[in-house]
Amino acid sequence: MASISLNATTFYPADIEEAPEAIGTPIKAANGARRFAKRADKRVWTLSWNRVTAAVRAQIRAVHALTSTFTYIDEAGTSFTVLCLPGAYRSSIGLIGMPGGVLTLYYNVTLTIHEA
Amino acid sequence: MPAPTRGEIEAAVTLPTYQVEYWNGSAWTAIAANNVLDVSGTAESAGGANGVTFGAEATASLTIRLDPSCSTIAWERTRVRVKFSFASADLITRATGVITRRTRDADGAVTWEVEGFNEPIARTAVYSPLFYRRPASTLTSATSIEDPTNGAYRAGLVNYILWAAGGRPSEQAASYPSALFYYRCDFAPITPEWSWAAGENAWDELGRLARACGLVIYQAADGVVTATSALALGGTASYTFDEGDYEDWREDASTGELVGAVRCAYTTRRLQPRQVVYEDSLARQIVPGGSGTYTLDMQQPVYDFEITSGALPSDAITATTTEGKLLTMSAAIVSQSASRLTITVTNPGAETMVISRIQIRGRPIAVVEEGSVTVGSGLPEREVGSDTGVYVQSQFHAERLCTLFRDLYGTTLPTRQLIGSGYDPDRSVGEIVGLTNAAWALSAAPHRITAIRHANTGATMDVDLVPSATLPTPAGTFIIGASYSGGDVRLLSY
Repeated sequence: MASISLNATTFYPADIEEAPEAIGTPIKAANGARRFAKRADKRVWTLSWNRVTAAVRAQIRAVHALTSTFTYIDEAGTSFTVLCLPGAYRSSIGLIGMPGGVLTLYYNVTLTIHEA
Repeated sequence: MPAPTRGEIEAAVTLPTYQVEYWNGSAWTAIAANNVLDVSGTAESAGGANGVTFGAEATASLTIRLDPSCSTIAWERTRVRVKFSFASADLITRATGVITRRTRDADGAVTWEVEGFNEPIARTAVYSPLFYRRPASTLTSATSIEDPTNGAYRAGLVNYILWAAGGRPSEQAASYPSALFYYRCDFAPITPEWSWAAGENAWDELGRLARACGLVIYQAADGVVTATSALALGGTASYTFDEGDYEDWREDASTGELVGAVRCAYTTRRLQPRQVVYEDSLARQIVPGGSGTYTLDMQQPVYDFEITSGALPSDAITATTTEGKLLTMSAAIVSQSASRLTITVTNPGAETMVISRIQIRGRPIAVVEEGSVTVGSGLPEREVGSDTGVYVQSQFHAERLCTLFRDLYGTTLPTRQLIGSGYDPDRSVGEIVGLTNAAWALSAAPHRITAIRHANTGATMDVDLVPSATLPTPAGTFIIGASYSGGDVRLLSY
């Protein structure tokens, strides 16, 4: 399982989905020619965790709650300045366990981060 | 760095860049690109249904959205300019003006509403001397004398108003780096007998002067306030828009400006012999050693006042002591214009002085004749002199103005709008371009750009065009101030 760092906290997500995002204005001419006024290339990562404890979920939620940009270090060790946009955090109950007769909840969590 | 190349501007994937700057009182200050949310705006070259109406109806406007960090910038009447370019090429100023309104959203985002330089011009009260047979506007150049305080000043009233409002000739911009704005003028095709400014809304005054003398006044894309002769509305295309440049198009033609016959009234004014041009008997007291400065507004414009060595003659001021002893006083001239005289009277004595009468003599101009001329025939017959102020002062002037209107507006000129073009910083309002459109059977047909509406912070634009093939061109007429050779055959202008 690859390790990453979000705001100096190490995580072990189950999946890291990266998508490039071209930012700009598309232009379509009358003769069908397409152009693009490009401002920047940015990246979007969707990080997924399966069946993590409430403590890990709280750490991820704390990252989502940050009020400024923060550093994301990907699985290859490359640093990016990123931020979370509204709707970036999703959590659901992935497993209900009864180890030793004690009820324990495990969570599936998704966090989407955007390159600033 | 060089200006953006055509390759950079027309690439399939362009890389537009921008910079928003404001004048902090001593220098242009750039706002960080990250703090600019959006820039959009409009530049027009003329108003009216046909887009080439004489006057000063065209304005520029700009809307700039910024992030909350910009809320601390002093914004009221602050000058701003927006530069656009592509890739790593030089940024070029394509919009400028003064902030007249600021709004803030709940999230703190700041929006500046920017008006063109018509706004500060309109706020300026300009009082000028009387100009006799002086072209309404005169050609600006690197050497033209534009400062009215220069004894060799011979520029027109348009130049005078623009200078007084804080403008400086764009050709001399290097000498005036902190000017409020820059201006560029052609020779006006028609010259009024007498012209003067009397402290009214200066932008409106420019409009009246332009309508009377065949000028179109607008703010160009680079921010330069431009007075273009009606003879220079046409020309040769420098670029052609085709279906690969715009997404959609529409046309709007109206008969609103179409004329058959043109009628114009005139009011002739003549220089009058020396006479009393101002008199009042208001009581004014000046304490011993004190002085009073008085602004006197004339009923009629005055060509020259009876002034000797910078002072009014001694009988212009009737003054006594509080006990009725007659004093001989003189009044120094603070400033003078055709319609206003400001004087200062000093009381050097030991007793309070009472001025009981001020009487100013000079040579005014006065109305001596009124008339009306009609040129052309058929309907509609249009009155063109009603909003030209006092500037149409002879039958000859009225006939020339009517002829110019008939030649320009005898044919309906549609406004053609090209929608969804990629932004092109090389295009400017007032420019002649070609238009190719198979649906309208147009192939590189010459048009004048009458408006550019840029959006998406220099990424896209819409363009308004007016067919220019029927418009007069400088090459077709003799123009005052230009040089010609013996073989030239042209129209004798208007």
